[in-house]
Amino acid sequence: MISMSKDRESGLESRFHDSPDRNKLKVFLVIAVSALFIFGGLLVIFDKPVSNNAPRFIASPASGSSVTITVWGSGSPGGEANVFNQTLASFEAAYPNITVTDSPAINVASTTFTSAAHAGTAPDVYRDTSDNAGALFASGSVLNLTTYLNSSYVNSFTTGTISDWTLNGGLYGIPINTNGVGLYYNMKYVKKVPTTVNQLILCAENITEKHLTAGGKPVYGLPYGIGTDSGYRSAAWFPAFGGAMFNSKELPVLNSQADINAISFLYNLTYSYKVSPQGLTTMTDQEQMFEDNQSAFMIDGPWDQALYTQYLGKDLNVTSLPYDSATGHWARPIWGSVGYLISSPQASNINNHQIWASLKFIEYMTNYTAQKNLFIQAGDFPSLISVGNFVKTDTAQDPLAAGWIAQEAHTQIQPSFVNMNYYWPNFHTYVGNLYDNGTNNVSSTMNAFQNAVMSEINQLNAKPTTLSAIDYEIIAAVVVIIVVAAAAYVVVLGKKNKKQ
Amino acid sequence: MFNDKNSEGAINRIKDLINSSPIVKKIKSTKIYKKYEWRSIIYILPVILVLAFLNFYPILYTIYISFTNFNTKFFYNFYFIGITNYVYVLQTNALYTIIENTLVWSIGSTIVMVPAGFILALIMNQRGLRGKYLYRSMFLFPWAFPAFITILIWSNMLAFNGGVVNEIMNFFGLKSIAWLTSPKYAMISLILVNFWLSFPYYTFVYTSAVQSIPQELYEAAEMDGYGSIRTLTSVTLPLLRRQVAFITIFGFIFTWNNFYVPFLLTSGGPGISTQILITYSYQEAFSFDNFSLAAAYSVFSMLILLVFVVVANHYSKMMQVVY
Repeated sequence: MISMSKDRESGLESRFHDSPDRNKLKVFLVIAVSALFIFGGLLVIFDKPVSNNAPRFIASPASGSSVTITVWGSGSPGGEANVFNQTLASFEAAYPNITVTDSPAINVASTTFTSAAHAGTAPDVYRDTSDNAGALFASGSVLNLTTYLNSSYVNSFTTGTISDWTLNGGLYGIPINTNGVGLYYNMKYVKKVPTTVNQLILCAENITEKHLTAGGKPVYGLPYGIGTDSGYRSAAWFPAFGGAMFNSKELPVLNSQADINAISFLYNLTYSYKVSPQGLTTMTDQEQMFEDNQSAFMIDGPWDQALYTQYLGKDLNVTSLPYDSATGHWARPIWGSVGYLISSPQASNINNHQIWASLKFIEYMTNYTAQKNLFIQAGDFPSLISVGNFVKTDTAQDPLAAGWIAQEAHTQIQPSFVNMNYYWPNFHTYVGNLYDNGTNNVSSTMNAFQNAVMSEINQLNAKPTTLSAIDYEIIAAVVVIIVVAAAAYVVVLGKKNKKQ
Repeated sequence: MFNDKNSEGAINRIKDLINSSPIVKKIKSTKIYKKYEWRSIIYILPVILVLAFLNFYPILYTIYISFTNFNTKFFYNFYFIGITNYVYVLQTNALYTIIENTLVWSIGSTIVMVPAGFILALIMNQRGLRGKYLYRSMFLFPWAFPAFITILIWSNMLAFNGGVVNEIMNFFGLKSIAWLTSPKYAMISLILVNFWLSFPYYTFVYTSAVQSIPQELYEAAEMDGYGSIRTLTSVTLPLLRRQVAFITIFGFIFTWNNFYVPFLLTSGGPGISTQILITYSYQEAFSFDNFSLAAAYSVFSMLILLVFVVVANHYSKMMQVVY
């Protein structure tokens, strides 16, 4: 019975193989695939990016006519989104001839913008961080605003935030806020605020040890999972040890001794000073420890302040990151900003009237009232000098505001050049691995990190490969091998078919 | 104004005119025309068009940009740079680790989920098994839930601090393991999560394959006194030989290109210990905006996969399941 079924199976098989249907199918497949390749090839050939010349002047629409602009990004849900909606309503009342089509910020990322820009369907106005926007500007997807805005308007913003939005002399966006990280602490544990790195380590060690010997729930001095960091918080420590992320030529200097020292310090928080627990996998872990009175210090930004206040109440305070007494340099967190930019005609087919309307929109969304509301409702620090003055005078008695003002004196500008793009994921890959493994090979990690960033930079400037003689020989050899193999296969197959 | 006879006559006249033209006569006299049924291409034309737009065009475009410098700097004015990207791919220090990871990920997942699916299918097809439908429904659960949600749940379950897996281990006096953040365990965790997500699919595919075997063969085997093992090795496995080969190779291909599990669980980390070709390609494209290099990685990945599939097909003849 079983052998019968085998015969039946092989009989069916051979019938099926030799059937004209199968030949037809093969021919159809060959033709269909060839047709698809030809069709696809034609599509590729005719798919050329749209090229427009950017207008050099702006004009308001004729009276009575209206203009519509599309906007992506109203800010994080909550305070920022509320202020956006309030300001938008006020803007539409002030400019009845401008209609704003807004998409909420959720799920709108610069990758989405990049895809849309290449297809020529980007929004007219987009909200992003200064470094992401820098890469977009470098790609030609963002309008250079220098020619459209007068200097007195630009000078009304702090120098730092304007620098954040400047690349190769071109201003590519208007900042709506500015922020970075500072040193939050729980006054329940921290009685004397540390101002040097050594004092910080000592204070954190004492707190950790005290609670360890007392038993009960452990309290860690300074939880810091470098593996969870994208390199944003850690960047603050390079200047403290005399280092930097990039030099003046925009090239990485991540394997300098100073940078190795900075990462060693952060690594040692977990593995040497033991003021941070091992295995921290997310920022949320660290935030929760601070909220639950399980840690004394927390390096974080004002975006989480409302939550910390809710948990710690009057025990919460913030101060500037310390300086290293050996180098005499302060830790300088990246002081970046979020802002609005206008797409280039290549990216969005924006016309003159839309550029005019987009400029009006940006000016309105970043004006005094909007930024003041953002500070009050969302805790965003302002980029306008006038609103900054309001913050200083009006919150002089507020210890948290005073802490941030102290931190603002020791910051570094967030690099907006393209090479900065290669810092973030590679930091996570290499320094994250160092932390997760606990192998203490900081020097080799930083060398690998440096090489990875350099490699990406070199690739960015890739030129057509100049083939040397040896390369030609290799290619020729590969081609010959493929041809001979194919010929042999055809010959063998032919003989086999003849026999059958 | 028009009647049927007239219009029919007009159509016939046009047909005759076309057929009598020398070019048409020449075409019709060729061997190829006589041999094949050309009109049937109309039936598959819609599918061809959809495939052209959704599949072949992106593939061709990917191949095309892999020979250019399409990146942030040359976003709108990229140009042909020959095989530079491919040379760069081959010179990347991490390439061999990434290929190794991709192989471990694909083979590791396949050798776990495919046999598991087969075994479960056999168990569920046993005669006299009570609660068959209940088990089948239960097995569908991991597959029925959105994979994204399932992965997030697994991510929390495998967390070092507070993850339920470590909590259970601690309860039994075992030390916590960094499932997702240790290079030693991260890949194992990915394979386990992938197993959870995909075993129902393989179970159901094998169930239908097993059910396609005529019942008479089993009855004959029983009459001949075959035990369970011998029935499996002499009836089930020989008859499912090609299906097994096809499902295994298909599983391998699918896992090779399975992006969301490594991306959502570890993002290729720690370090590059779970970085596979497809996630690395994504990173090049969407973290570094180096689209041409990402395309080169994709083509490279596709070529390796193609070699595997051609070799596997040569030995297993698995495509005969399709034809």
